[in-house]
Amino acid sequence: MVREVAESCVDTMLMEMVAMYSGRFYANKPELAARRIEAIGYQVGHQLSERYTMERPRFSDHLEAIKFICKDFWSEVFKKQIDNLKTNHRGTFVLQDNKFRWLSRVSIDPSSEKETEDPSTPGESKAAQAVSMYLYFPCGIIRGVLSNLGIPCAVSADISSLPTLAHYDLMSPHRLFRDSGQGLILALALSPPHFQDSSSALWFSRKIRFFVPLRRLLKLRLLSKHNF
Amino acid sequence: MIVCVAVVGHQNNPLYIQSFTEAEDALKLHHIVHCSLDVIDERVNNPSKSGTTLNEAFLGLLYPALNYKVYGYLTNTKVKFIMVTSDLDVRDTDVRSFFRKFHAAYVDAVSNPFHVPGKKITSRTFSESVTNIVSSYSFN
Repeated sequence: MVREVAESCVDTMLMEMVAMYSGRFYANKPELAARRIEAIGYQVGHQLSERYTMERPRFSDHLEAIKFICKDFWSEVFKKQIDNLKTNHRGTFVLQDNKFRWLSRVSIDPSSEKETEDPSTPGESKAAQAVSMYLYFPCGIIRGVLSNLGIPCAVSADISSLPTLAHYDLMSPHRLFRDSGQGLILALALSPPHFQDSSSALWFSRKIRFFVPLRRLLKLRLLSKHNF
Repeated sequence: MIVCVAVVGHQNNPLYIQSFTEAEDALKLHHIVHCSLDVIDERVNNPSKSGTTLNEAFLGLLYPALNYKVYGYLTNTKVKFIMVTSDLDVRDTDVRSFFRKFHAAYVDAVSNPFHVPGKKITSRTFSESVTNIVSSYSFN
């Protein structure tokens, strides 16, 4: 029995959840709001994984579970497969989705994007922060799935391209929505079994920091493409 | 006839256990279920010895007790299903389809947003559907 839900409902729910947690419940504590949203995602992922792994043989190693996430799980939840999967073969995986479904309709107020020539301006970082609130829920889902499959891990997400609404606004307004596709980079750090809890947390954070240059790189490339 | 079914979590914590006999032998059946957990662990950790490969969820006959046969099933999420039957002539395909239905009922139960993962399943709907599944399988 397959039950489906309208995409607009999922979008609305995500929007409302972020608005409620970051705007009302924890208006002054974005950290706390993020953690709560991530926890909701965790439970959802926990339950989804029970259903989606029902007809499958057991996974023999981590890579198989990650492949399951990339192919079957991603297409069940986001209606497409992951575009790129990278790994360092030591427990860190980078999943890249060039058109992340749940962000495909997110755009940023053009007035706040006027001064985006320099990526370090506060306007851009504010926009990035606003969008990143929407990523805690999918991150939590992925972490919930992997934890339920017996793979404790840390998941963090990064947007590879911020909404390009202002850009397209100038040229051809009708392309606004079709082309403001959002790329997503998801970094997964799987904890090796011999790590204890406290040390693995440190290890995670170090690993995840490793991805920051990657994001910078992509963003720079993107800027150079658009500033013709 | 199926005399006992159990759902056991990934830390070997009982999530649901139900016996279907009139006699007062629930304790004995629980003991059988408890013992079978060791067999499951052994099967999963030494897959070469047991012969069943491919990491299939269905683990087959775990061990024959005196009057019972014990079957096991291990999901991807490390949840174990155990079934004790008093029928001694059982076909594997029947047991497989039993476990598939049992698993579907379990997934429905844990998808309830009010169910706390890792806690005992108290849903009345779940126990009703398990009773239905059990009564539809007599294996003879």
